[in-house]
Amino acid sequence: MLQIENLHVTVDGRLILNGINLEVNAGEVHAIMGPNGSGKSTLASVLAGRDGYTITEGRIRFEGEELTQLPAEERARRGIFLGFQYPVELPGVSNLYFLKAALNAGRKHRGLPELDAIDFLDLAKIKARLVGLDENLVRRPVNVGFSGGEKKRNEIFQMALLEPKLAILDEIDSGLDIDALKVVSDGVNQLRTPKNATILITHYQRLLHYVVPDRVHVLAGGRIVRGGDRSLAELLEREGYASLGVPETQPGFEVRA
Amino acid sequence: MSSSNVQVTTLERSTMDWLKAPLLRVEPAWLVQRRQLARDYFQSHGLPKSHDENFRFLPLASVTSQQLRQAPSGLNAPDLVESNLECSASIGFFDGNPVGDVESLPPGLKIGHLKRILEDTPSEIEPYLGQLAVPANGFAALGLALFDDAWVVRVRADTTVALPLEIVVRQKHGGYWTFPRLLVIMEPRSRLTIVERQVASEDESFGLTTGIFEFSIADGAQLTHVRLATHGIEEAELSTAAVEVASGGHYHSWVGSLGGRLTRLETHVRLMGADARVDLDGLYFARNRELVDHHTVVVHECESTTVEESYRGIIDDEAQAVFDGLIVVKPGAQHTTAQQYNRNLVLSDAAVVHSKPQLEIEADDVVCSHGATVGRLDAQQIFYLQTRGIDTALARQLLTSAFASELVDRCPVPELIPDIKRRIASRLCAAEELDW
Repeated sequence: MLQIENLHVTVDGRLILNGINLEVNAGEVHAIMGPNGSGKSTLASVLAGRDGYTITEGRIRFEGEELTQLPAEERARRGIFLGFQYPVELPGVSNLYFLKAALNAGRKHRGLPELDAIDFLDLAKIKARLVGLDENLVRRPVNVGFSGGEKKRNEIFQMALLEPKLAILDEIDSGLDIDALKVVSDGVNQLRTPKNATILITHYQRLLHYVVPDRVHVLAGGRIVRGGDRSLAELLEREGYASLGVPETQPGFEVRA
Repeated sequence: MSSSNVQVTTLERSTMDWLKAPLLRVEPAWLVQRRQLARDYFQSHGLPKSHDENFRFLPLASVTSQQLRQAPSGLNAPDLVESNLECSASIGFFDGNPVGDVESLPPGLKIGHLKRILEDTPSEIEPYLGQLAVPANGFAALGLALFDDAWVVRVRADTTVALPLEIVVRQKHGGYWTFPRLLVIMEPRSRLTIVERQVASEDESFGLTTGIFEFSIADGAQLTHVRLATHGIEEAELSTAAVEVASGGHYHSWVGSLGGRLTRLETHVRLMGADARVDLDGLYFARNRELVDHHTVVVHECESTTVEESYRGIIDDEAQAVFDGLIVVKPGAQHTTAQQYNRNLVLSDAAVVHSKPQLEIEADDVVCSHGATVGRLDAQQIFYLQTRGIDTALARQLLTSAFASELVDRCPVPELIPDIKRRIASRLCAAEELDW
């Protein structure tokens, strides 16, 4: 489904990703782990199509199609979803209205008829229940006044509605207490099918107790330094990144947008 | 215009003949005197110049370079506009002349022609007419000097008029400089809502409207005033609303400036008694080469008075916007509460905004805050929407309408909101799908 080959990315002239190779197939869950500043969030941003990143080498293909020239919305319509580490607040924009527009943009792209307000509302209610999101939040302006846990749940709710082929969840576990983590993980697990794939980006292995990955990759210094199955995550939990010869933080290496 | 070294504009030249005409009408001496003072003001000052502090940021040339005619008075004007608003009465000004049917009004609401009142009971209006709005610029001065007839509205004490009074202001074909004039007297504890709509002429050719609205709000009375300026692309308006609020009275103004070559709305409020309150809400959206200018002046004459002011603007293309808000707290006006905010969203590189919030506080026990911002759409927000499949054009429309929505939702006549939203969506060139 997703092939990343020799990806090099710079931000303001500084090299952040230094030759990433990664292949993700339908039905798989991949975890990308790494210390702070290793390039994890940059990888997520580049896959989603955020401005400000320059690909100097390499390619990203999604379902056989080159992604790098497509704007973010085109990638989303093709089935790529980015769950934000820090979901953005949109004062004055209702969750429902914005998601109806989003869903219909994707349906239009796939040649499906657009949903009207009533059908959409029915669908939204079902999905909100699935991820345990309070229905009142569904109607409120996007993420405004939401707690940290509610914002993350809202990300999973949006993912449930949009049914992406590839979900990239950037630190979806950060700032969550254990109950919220369970709810969010349950949501991710329920949305797993043989047809879609998930990339979990995380610093900690805690999330991987709840969402069990097929593959684990360790990112450091802008490249994948180690790959393995879930036991690699367990090793990291026991012995830390240092056991792989990777410093715990790499300050100043990654530039956040 | 007496000073010979100042160039006389085309528009000023248009008015010379109008002012040569003697005051023929039989009017009370006090009104003759007020008109004469206004003439004198205009003849010595003319129209505002660019060095005039209150007009410094508003290029007037697109208005003053025009030649205009004086509208004939007392026409048999047709019905103004079709309206869907359920109201207590629908009146208006057609080519500046007061028109409308006031035969059957709810109890306690009186509406009459100024000319008739001047014949019958002039003392009723003597304290107000031309006194609440003392001309402070050439436009307003000419308005007082030249207006022909006006509407006078009175709400009797303890009367609540349930439905809004609709006032539609329109020029049929443009080409005139008109001076619609309204005086509203709110007796103690009365309540009224006015919906004033400035609408485009049939052919949207150049015309200039200088409206002078005077409101007297007695003890415990409440006046809500919605002003919707939706002019045609060539039309201009420079209007003034002047308000005095007595003890416990409340004036709530909601302004929407959504179209016109040049729109300058002044609001002058004096809070005269304890617990008097004013709320000033404004929303403007200027695009193409439109000019919008909102001047508000609130004077706290007395202790325990309150102003809450919030203006928001969207400025696109080569449009220019001015917000000038002055709050004056007089000595002795202790326990005043004053809040004033102006936020501007700029959508293009060529758009210009001047925001000038001002506080003049001469009392020491007050709570006052103000702030002004000029910003652009947030790149993070746009990216977030893009990652959900929404293209940048729709993302900008969504975020811009969201910026406006807080002010739109505060419109005190909810029946108007769908129309206001449609107008904003159309200014955003949004497709029908923008049903927010």
